[in-house]
Amino acid sequence: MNPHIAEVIETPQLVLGRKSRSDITELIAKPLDEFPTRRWWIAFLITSSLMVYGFTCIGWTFYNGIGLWGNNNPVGWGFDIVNFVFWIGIGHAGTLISAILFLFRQKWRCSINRAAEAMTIFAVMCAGIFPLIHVGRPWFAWFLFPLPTQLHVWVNFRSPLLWDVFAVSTYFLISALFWFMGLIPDLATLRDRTKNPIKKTIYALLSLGWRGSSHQWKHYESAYMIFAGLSTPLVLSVHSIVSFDFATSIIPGWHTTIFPPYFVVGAIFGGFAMVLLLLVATRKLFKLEHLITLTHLDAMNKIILFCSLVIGYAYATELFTAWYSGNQFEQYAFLNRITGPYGWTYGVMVLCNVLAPQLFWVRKLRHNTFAMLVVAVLVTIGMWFERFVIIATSLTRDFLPSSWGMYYPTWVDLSILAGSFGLFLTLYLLFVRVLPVISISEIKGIMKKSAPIGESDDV
Amino acid sequence: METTEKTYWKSFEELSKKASYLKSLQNEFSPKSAEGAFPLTRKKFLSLLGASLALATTSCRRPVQKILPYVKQPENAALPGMAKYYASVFSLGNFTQGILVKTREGRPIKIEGNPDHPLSSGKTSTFAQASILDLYDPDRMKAPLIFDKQVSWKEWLRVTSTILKNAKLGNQKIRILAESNASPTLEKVFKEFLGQFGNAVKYEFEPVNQEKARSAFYKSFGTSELPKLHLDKAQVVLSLNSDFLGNQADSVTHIQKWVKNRKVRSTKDNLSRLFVVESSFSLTGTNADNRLALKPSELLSFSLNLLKRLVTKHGLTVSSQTQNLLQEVEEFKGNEYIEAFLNAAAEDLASHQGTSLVVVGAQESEELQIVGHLLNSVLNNMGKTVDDKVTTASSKNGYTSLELLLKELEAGQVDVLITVGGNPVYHLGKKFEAALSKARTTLRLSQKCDETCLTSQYVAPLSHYLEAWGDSAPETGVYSVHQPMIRPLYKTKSEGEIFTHWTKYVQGKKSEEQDWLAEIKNTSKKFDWKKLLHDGVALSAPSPRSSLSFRNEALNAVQEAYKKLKTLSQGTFELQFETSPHTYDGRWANHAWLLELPHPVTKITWDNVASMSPETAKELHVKQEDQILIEIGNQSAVLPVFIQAGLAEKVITTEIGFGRTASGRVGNNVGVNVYPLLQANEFSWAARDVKVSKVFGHYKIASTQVHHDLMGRPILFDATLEEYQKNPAFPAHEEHGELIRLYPSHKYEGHKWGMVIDMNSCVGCSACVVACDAENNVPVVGKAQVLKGREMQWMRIDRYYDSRNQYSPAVFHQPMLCQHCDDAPCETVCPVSATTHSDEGINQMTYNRCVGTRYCSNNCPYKVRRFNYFNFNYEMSESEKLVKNPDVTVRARGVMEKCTFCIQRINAGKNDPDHIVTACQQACPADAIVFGDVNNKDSEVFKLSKLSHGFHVLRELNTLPAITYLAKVRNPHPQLIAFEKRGTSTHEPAHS
Repeated sequence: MNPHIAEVIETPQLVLGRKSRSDITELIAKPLDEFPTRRWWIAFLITSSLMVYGFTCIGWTFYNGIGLWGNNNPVGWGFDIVNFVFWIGIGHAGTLISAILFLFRQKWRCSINRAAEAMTIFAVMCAGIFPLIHVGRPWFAWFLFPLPTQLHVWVNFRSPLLWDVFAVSTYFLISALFWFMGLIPDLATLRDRTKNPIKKTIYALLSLGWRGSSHQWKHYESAYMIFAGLSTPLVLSVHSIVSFDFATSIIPGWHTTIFPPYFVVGAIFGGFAMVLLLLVATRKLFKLEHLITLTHLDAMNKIILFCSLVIGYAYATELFTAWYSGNQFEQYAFLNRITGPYGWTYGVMVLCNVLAPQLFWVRKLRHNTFAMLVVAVLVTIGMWFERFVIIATSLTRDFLPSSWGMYYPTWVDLSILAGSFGLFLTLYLLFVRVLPVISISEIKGIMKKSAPIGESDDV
Repeated sequence: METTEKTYWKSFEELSKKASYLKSLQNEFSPKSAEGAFPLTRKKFLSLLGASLALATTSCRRPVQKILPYVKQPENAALPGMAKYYASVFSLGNFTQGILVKTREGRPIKIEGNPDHPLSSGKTSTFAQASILDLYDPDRMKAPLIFDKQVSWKEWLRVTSTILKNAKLGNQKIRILAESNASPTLEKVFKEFLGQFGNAVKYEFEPVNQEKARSAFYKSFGTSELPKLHLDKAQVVLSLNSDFLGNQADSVTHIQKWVKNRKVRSTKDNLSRLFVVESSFSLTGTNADNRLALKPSELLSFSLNLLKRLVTKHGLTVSSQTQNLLQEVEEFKGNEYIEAFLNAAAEDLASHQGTSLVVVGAQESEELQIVGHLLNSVLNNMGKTVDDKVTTASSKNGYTSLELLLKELEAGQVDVLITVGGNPVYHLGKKFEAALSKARTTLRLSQKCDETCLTSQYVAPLSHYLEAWGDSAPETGVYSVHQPMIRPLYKTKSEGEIFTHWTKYVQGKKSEEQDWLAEIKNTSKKFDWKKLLHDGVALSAPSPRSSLSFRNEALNAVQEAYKKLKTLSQGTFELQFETSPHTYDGRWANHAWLLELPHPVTKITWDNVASMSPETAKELHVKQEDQILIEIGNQSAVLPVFIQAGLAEKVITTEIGFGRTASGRVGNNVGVNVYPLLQANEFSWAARDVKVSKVFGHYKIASTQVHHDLMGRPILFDATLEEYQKNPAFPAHEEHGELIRLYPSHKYEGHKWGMVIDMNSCVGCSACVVACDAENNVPVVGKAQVLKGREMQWMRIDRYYDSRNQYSPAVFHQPMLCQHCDDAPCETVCPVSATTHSDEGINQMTYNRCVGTRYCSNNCPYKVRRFNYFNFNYEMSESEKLVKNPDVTVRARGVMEKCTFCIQRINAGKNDPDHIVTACQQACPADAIVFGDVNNKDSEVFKLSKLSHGFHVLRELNTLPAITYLAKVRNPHPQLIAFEKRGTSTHEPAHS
């Protein structure tokens, strides 16, 4: 082979340094054996306070009513549903990484899938809060579930909101099970390592008697495959269904057939940005640079760049469709998005989602963690604003100009949003303290010489 | 065969035939088998049995209440669950509307119109509708006071009667200052009372008075009265600053008559034409076919120019004095539109002699009103469109007549001042308050503890009109009685009761409780009492009298005024006062329904503002919601700026009746009190030389509609009469071709309820909105929530401007309520099936199933759904609870609600489905709302819904609304149509 070509197609190393398998185990599992650092405690204190504050505001809302928020007559959904869609979107990256990338044999996923999946579950938990608290009478939120009670309160299967209930709960269930299953070999490793009897008992219970026999591995692998197969359509369906909330309605700016793919890509986009954000921080704090390498981050950045292009295309298509439709309501809805009183939110959205990720065309920036942080934060902001633009702005001005109105969030809205971040980060901080952030067993599988010669080591 | 012993055995003991065991078998109830095996002894068992029996039978339960039917039904029993209606009348000053009061279990809950009453024909105004809440106002005065100390009525009457008796003995000066009323009996009682004293005089004062109207009429025709207008006989109407369709106490009567010539049912129908020349943007102006905005100071000159044109161009004959006057009249300087307007109005009036009508606002200057009378005389309208036989009630209730009283008070000459109703301290300000305090003894009769009560010594609470006997004669030949619907809620009495008591006491006679009723019975003795009570009204033919002829001497005043006009400085800011649709003159300042009722034109709630045109605002360098200081003489007021299209330049308009300080928990310090300005302007409603300056600060105005432009959307349609005649189906617009449904249509086998709203009749008065509030227990949310866009009214009147005519925008009023779509977007999206479609075509809301996702509201293209963001019924006083309609659920927080087509009325009326009326329809003075069963091909609603100019709002969405709107057909003068740029929708200045 031409050495020049060989250089170009040289497969990047997914595990750097000359690490032995026990080194890997040590590296990942060691922090779990130690008492949390001061830095961790400070971070935990901040995020958990935020979380408690957010939940207090939710309680305050339960006590007084939705009136504490900015929602009003034309704008029935404000921050509540914006946050819901935002968090559900965030929760897409994990399953995509663990399921779809698994099926496509993207081995670089192995060092990031654990954290990404955890993040997914936490994001879906954050998201799940909002539909339940956004209802006017949360004590009757159980009406939304098809429970066969004597009251004969039955659900309306024609409502996309009900589809949401199924989509989100299924997604949460499958993601959580998938994550837990992937954890079993590692839990067994931890069980075997730890000397603390309490920890040992807990890990032992959770590892379900894993001994690492080839028999078990065989079942494990096929179960993993089944879960990946089950999750793959879910990645696409959940956000498609969430988008139906809007796409099946008649409000100009909502009533759009492009929404399902548009929402799914947006979700992957936002999710990857969040994963990037967390991983850049985690690898630094836990000194995992050898396992979560720049190669990994580079691959993720490429996906972000790709999604950004698709998103930009979707934005353009929406505008084109509105113009081409000849429908005055549709045309005005999009004109209003750009030039109306909330035009600045549209600007923020385009800047963060379409323009900022273009930095990743530059290889140097794809390998620069600071640039990644900046872009990831911008994308997260941008994706939040995208949902705001779609949900709230469309509602402020629909068909009858007589009922147009403005939407202004209140401090309670902002507090609950902040609280949801508090919950998310608190859960993540707990996660990194009690479970291995990187899949020990899987990372071993992609090390050099882990497979018979001539088989693997491809990316 | 050898018999063998049986070998079955149960235990080894038995098998072994152990003696002790066999013995034990004999003892069936051995202590071992009974107690050892089972620890419950017989005694214990019995005691437990007894205990549980005792517990089971003596457990707690609700006390038994037996419901027994009447063996013999009493004639007037309040049947539980059944509404009873009693005829009565609602009075506002001298004006009266016939009403039916709906009572449930003995408590009045709703006002409906009395169809037998000739002045209101079964319809009501916003104020009449709202008066029911006033009854239950928790801030009403509850007991008499002597120097702020609560006393019993007995004590209060004893003390005050003694004061009056001493006054009689001492020949002291007694002065009564009362509000106006239309009650002949009360007037008689007042007269009898005054007759007891050597020196007693009664004055009347109303801030919205008939002083100028009466004196102008006197000067013109020689009698002090107000004529009845026949708007139904007029084909051409010219209004000079008269808001006869809007805020007047008798607008209900006018609206009904005016719309008679405004209904379009076929291309053969003719329409009357309304010209409006005004300085504010009134409701009447919004209904004009041709409207002209002028400064208040220009109106006299305009009207004289109109007369001049009638004479010179159209050859109307006038007296020589008139001709002399007209010679002095200079050509009205203005733009081409004013010129064309003058010509058009003159042409129409000249060609409709005897079928035209000139209406001048009752608060306008005497001279303008005289010119109005002159115009009507010249146009031969007297005795035709202006009745010269029947007069409407009026009294001497102006400021001028009050001056004598003020002088006496200031000089400290008044010994006893009795103020009855009204609120002179608020209306007349500090000056009067100071004067009042100089009276030796002040007696006060009032419903509320208002500003005047606070400065009076002996204060007694008056009954609400629904709690007391009374009568009224609002015009010659019409007499009504109002009867108590409920015992007084608090310790209150009516004016009549108090004055009959005083009179008798002073006479030295013993008074009885029934005295006042006896007086009323005495007044009405020529009528059958029972029938009078039942019908609520008795009619008699007015006595004949000579017709009215115009007196030319009246023109002297006009001449003088016209001369003076020319000497006055030009180009100053001018201020036009208006009555408030919220509080009228301030009397309903504590009325939450009315304060939250969007202003019919500006859609503002909870405030009065300074309205001005965009040009004026530019000149003052102010923007919407800035604040300005308005100064007249030494008085000033700071008002928020509201930009209102269609006002003349340098004209600012504002409303009286706000800024009360002692109205109650709702109305205190709402808006700004502009009475000091009105007083500084000598109670003339048009002020010149007004100083206006911008002041620091920003003020939030709570308007329910902040966008006023149709944006060319298929929301409503209009055409001129000519266009309609050419193309009767003008609202049909097939932009999307045939609309397709994927699902089979609903089948309505029984009834299919539907509604038709005639936008041509609707004047935008908003009586329907208040009626709906009352009928459906719609909560009031307050200004802060309105600012957030959380008003709860199920019905709203959308008002759109169209500036196709750059000189004056066209205005459209569109009542908007749940459209009860056949394919309702709200129904499919509700995850819990809380909103569903009935088999009679009604879009139903099931409150107790609703969890409050608000998805339905988001998906409603008409945005008619209302969400309870808070528990708006939380802070409700005991008395306010009584006004709630027991047939309608009071909604909790977190629940969506909306128009139900008055489902409770539909269900109650199913036995007679042709006569079901919704609350909005019942109240509508214009008969613009028609409800009924569209499956019944004979029903009016079916016939109207098939008219060619009917349309559905946003038809392209194919929601198939159950409400058909009849498009607006306007009738502008052909010469003035030229000023309309059709087809181009220019945007109004943004008001957001």
